[in-house]
Amino acid sequence: MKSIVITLQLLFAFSLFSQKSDCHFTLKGTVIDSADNKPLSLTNIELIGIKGKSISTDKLGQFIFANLCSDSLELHISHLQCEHIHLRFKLTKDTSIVIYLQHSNHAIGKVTFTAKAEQDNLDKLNLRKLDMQKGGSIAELMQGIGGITLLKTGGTISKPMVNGLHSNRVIVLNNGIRQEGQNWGMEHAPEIDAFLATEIELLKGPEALRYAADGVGGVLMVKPASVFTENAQQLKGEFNLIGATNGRGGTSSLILGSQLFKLHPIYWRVQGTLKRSGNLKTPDYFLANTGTSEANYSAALGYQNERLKFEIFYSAFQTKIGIYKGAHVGNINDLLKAFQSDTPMYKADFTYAIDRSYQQVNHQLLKTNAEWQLNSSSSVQLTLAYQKNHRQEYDVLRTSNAFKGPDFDYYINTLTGDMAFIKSNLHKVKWTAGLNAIHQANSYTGRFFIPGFYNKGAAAYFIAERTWAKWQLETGFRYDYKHITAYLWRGNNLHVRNLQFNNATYAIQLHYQKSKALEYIFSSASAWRPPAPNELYSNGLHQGLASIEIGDSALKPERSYHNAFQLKYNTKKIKIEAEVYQKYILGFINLVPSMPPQLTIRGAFPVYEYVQQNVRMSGLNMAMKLDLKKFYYVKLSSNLLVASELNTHAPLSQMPPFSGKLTVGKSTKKYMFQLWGQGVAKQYRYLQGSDYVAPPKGYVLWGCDLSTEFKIKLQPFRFNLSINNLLSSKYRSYLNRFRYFADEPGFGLTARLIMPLNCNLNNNKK
Amino acid sequence: MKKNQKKSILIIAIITLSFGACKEKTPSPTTPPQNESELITTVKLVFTDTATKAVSTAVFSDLDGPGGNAPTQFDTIRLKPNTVYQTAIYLLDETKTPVDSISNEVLEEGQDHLFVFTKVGVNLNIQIADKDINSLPLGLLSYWSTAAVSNGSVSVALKHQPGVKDGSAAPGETDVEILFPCRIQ
Repeated sequence: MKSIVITLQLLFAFSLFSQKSDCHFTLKGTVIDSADNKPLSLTNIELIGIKGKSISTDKLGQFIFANLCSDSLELHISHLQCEHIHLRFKLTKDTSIVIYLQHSNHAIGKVTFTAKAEQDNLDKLNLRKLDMQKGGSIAELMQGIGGITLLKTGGTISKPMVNGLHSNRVIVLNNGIRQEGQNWGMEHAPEIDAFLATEIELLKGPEALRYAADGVGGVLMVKPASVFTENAQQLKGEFNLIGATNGRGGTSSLILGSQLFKLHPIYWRVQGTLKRSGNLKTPDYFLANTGTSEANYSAALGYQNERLKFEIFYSAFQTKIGIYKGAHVGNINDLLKAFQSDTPMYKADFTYAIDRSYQQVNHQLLKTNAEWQLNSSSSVQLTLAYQKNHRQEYDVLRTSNAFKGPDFDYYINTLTGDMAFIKSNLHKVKWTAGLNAIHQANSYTGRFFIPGFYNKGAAAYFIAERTWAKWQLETGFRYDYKHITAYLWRGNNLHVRNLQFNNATYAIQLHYQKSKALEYIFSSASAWRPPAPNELYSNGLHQGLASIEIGDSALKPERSYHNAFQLKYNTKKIKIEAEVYQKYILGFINLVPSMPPQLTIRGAFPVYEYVQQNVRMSGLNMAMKLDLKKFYYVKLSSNLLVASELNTHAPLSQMPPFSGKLTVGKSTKKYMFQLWGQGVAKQYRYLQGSDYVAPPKGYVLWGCDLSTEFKIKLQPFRFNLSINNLLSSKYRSYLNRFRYFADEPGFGLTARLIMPLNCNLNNNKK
Repeated sequence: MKKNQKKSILIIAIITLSFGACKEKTPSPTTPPQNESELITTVKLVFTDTATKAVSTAVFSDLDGPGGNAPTQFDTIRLKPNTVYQTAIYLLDETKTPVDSISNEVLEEGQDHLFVFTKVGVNLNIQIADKDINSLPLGLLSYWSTAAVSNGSVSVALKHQPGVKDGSAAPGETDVEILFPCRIQ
């Protein structure tokens, strides 16, 4: 969904008609999309304070209110339920207005300067782009954003990596709520139904401070569609049916919503997804035990009148993920043997069955959100959310008659509250002030990896933006207080550790619109992150990696300083977005090899310890699109990152290597076809001896996408096909933790049928 | 039923469903950890001199499992030259009361397990004496025949080979691997 926001150019064309008596004035107008100067239909125009005066613009973008009294009018203009604008003026004569609505790139009602229609955006993915990725995990959806790569564990688990950082350093916002699971684990993927997302954005400016202080790597926002449908008398929805050859996976997802009562502005929406996939196949063999299944549902209710907007949302996410059998190693000798072997130890055929080891995760979210419009320029928002995350990990059993339960059972329950006051003075100044609070309880049964703890925190933030003719400045400040009580068992003795952290975070972003086509954005931000429980207290064997990880309870928070310069160039023929950044992280908590190996009953294991270092990360993300004649286009994008420890200049491990992608395609009104090639270099920047084997060599992958739209009778359909790894190339990725054990999946074709649903509920039987 | 009533029921149903689904019991953060279900803390080798019936042992014991504290006992295998020993292996979980003998499970599922002995530098010949139900070697019981005085090491490994056991050491993963120093003196 594109967010239509405010308006810079509001043209009032008052015209004088003949004077009429007090309540016979007409207000008519046209809403125009400033991106392409075309009329915007289905824009909702509401006269605040006057009951029943709410209409939508027609196909020509026009609306008309008749029989209005001479009065101060307040107009609320919204499109696609995104950000809205308020207009106030005194009606003294028949009036006609032209309203230019503008597309925005930003999440929190931000003023933007240029028209940005369906543009290739580095930090944001819209519905159309998401269409081509459907059927993948939420992290796979995110990888179209500049700077985002995937950190994988086999073919079944992936989590987003933002400019080389991940897990505790990357915050994922689901429906405005910070996702709270066992996020620290590299093999713990975000528990979000990918079909809930209609837009995904990497927040770069100060708006991120509203949600978190510890987004050292970045804050990713997953936005669902609004529950408030535009047309009251329509049942709106979408049905998705997806099939994939590799893994023989099938996904179906349905979303439906409408207005509940004809006369009351109460809206509902239900949504559900079912997903099943079996063993994946590399070019040469099936990967044993790589099936997955997922069942999710959500329901939302909303009430909206002139002044109050209230929403209640519930979602449940359940998944079972098989872990590649060949990656289960007992000790370091098994691991070394697996490296040397080119073929897997466990031969497998295709099956949907998932055996140990596997993960089973259940995530529930209950959210209520209320927004009061106090007057035309100020509003109050109140959000309360409760999240319940239950993760179970089942390891391979030594004997089949032993215990059948999970080896790890993690529970984390989180209650968060946010209160914000938002004041926007038409288009010049806008500020948000708010308070955050969190209460979190973490517990486990089974094997110890991280301790049980209570985490209580509170924060206050202030975010402001000011607009001048060509300049826009955004600033944000946030102060956090955090208190963690951890319960550590040493044998039969309970040790209680209390930890307190408080610190400030800031962010500044400056936009400069050089010309209509060229925009510069400079941003500077600092964030901090307290050490996570695994970094503080873990002390044990990491089975999958055949290593012993030792935490350090004396770790201090880490702090980042991030500076970035972004350039956006946008003309009809060429679009460029480029970003250079430099990030310093002081006290970066890093897992480094330590001597000597530790002796266990399974042999000696290498030991890794959490230490703090000062690091520098510099990078360049670029995306370019060139429109050629006859609807042909060329796209080019690339990511480059160099990360080093400051004193020794030693490279940081597990950083994404240089990659680039070239796409050539043709897009007409009827169809889109594109062919792409993606090259990923070998990661040469790696410290000898810091890994069991050297990083895998570089590779080139090819793929293609086709999408088209058609109608059967009156029902429209969208259909698309994607092929990944077209030539079924054999390769291994440095960012896959199972690179030691197996190749990446080979050829895979995914077909998607998307059926938008629009039924009229006009059963007027009265 | 009136339409509005139906709709109200729908709302109530959605809300109850939502809250109802949250009802699962969560343990408290202060809950003590359970002992690991499948821990092997101790490997005990019991050598019986086939001639004199004299018994000696060699033990490796790491009571808190991998990681944490160092092993509490790690013996050297000491054998007499030119002697034949019958060697029995016991795998124990000493965190349980009573002590759990895991060797029984290994015996029951012998078709998925194999002990692998690797000697370096010692004049010793090891032969597995027991077999699983598929007549493949198991190794809970073996004969160790020593020759001249020598020093070196013997690695005792337990392989878990569910469905892939073929009598060789290669398949499967390692549940136990201890490199015992060994002296024939």
